[in-house]
Amino acid sequence: MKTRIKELRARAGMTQSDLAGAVGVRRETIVYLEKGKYNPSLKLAHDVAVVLGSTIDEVFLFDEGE
Amino acid sequence: MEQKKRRFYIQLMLVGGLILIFGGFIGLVAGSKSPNTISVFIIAGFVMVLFAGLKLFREDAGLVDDERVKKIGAWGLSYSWFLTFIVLFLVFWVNELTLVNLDARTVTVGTILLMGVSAKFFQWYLFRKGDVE
Repeated sequence: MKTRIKELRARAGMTQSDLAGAVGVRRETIVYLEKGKYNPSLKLAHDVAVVLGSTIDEVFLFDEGE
Repeated sequence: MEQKKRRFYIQLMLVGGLILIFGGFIGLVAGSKSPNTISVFIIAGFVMVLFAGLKLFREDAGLVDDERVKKIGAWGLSYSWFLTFIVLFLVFWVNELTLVNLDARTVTVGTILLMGVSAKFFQWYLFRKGDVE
């Protein structure tokens, strides 16, 4: 899974800590989300997308095989 | 609201622990005839107070238990449980076939250590990896 969190976060002028605080998780979770190493729950994916002013399918990109 | 609820449960645990310790000491002073019960009261009380203190410290330090932490914590415990199950299965057969003579104390201490250490190890590994998958 790839994500556009880093790009959208930078566009929104937010730090990882800002985003973490806005969605109620630790900063490390945002780090692993940005690296595509953590599969979030639907709720967290939704919250991240809302905070970044986007939609889930625009933020989280799945390969065909996944 | 959620935080208030958590605080209430922590305070409840703290008060419950203190009551158990107090009750244990009262029994000790009063010369109770069942020292085992008193020991259980005091140890359980100390454990409750310790856990309540740790929870309060984590709250005050702003260590939010987010979904990743909870998920990895739960999976770490599951892996640890399964490992302990396999080890106990092996211990049973080792004992049954009298390959090694193990007493109950050794097995109990070994199990306690194995469960604690392996849970921490699996959680550490999964945290480094990022996720359980």
